[in-house]
Amino acid sequence: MSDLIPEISGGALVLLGSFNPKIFQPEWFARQQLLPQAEADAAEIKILIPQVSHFETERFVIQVTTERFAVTSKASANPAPLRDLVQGTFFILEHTPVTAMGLNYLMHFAMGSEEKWHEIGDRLAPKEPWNQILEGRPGLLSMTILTQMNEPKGSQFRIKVEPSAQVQFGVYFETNEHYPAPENEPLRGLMGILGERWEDAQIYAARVVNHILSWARTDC
Amino acid sequence: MPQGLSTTFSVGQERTADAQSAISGSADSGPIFEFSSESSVDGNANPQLGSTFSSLQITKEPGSVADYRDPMIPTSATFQPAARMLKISSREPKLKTRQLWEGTVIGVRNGGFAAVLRDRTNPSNPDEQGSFNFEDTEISADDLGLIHPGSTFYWIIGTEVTPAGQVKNVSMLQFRRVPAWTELRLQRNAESAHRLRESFQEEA
Repeated sequence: MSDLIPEISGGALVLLGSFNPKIFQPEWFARQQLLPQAEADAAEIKILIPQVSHFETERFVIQVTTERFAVTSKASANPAPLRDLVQGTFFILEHTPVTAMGLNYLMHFAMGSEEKWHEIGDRLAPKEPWNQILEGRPGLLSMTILTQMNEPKGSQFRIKVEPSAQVQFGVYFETNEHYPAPENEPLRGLMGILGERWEDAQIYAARVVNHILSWARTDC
Repeated sequence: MPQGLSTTFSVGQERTADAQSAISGSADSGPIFEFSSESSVDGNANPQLGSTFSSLQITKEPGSVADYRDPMIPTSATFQPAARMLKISSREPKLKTRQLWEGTVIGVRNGGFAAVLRDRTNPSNPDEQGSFNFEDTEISADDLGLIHPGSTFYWIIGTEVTPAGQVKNVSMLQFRRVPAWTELRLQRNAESAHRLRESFQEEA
């Protein structure tokens, strides 16, 4: 069975640590040449207060609080450039204390029909025991699978499956590679992982999701 | 499930002070951009699901900073619109990437440039070479100054679905933006290397 291409996809990169949200403004990114000037000029600032910076550009949504830095690619953009934005940011802010990083991919797939859509939920979460006790037609709303990765120590992979809120008869997958910061040079360590894993994490996420979808759509 | 992991699990589980995760927009991962447990799905494409969907795919937008649950934020302030993790609006176009290449410029000539292209969609494919004319290639004006031998870019080919439902083929180049080494940083690194060399010499 050929791989499905998601109707909507995106990437998100999250860092946990200690941040100064006031720094993160569109003009700062343009001045550091991390964003094109025109993209920064057209950015829509949602919130800019000492505790929170939140703005959107043509390609990214950036949200920074004192404990969390998150950049998400928009549905109209490919997530590949997100890595450069984050690596560039923390190449400049090299003393930022960080504790963990998450590489996230988000995908909405169209199943084509209500029947096929239900098949996915029924395969992932068989309804037999629920039907014996619940009224109506029980359905899967959310399932998260977590596994420990072999390397580096403490890293985890999790995948969430839900009905899509965006695509009719669609299934939403969200994957997360979670890396705790190494004790020595935490920021440099995480940026190294980001450089090595960003593209591979996306390929791996797509492989896992397509495996699950293929499995769920066969032998029903 | 291993002990200690459940606190970083999905929505609805008991929260603890160390319940931190780097999953994007996860409701258990950080207090500030987390929506209330009553958050509801707006415009759900699958109406059979009901109204209390617990994902951040799209959620009710909080109307005041109190919705961010950060005790550091003054509760009297209001703002509009508020943050949400995934900005997928029906008013925005949606890109379906069918092919992604990463290119490295190997030569610039009048009216265009040549590049080596690595297939990022199917990394096992061999590298290729390609020529790009400035006139025929979708490059933003801001990126033109970044084109020189050695610079790298993404070439994205796909389809874009407009808010009106029109499907367009798109091909765009986005040059990678990596910060330049500054004199100060080079100097600091040189000093660091010098200290390292001296420590080796002392040990020898």
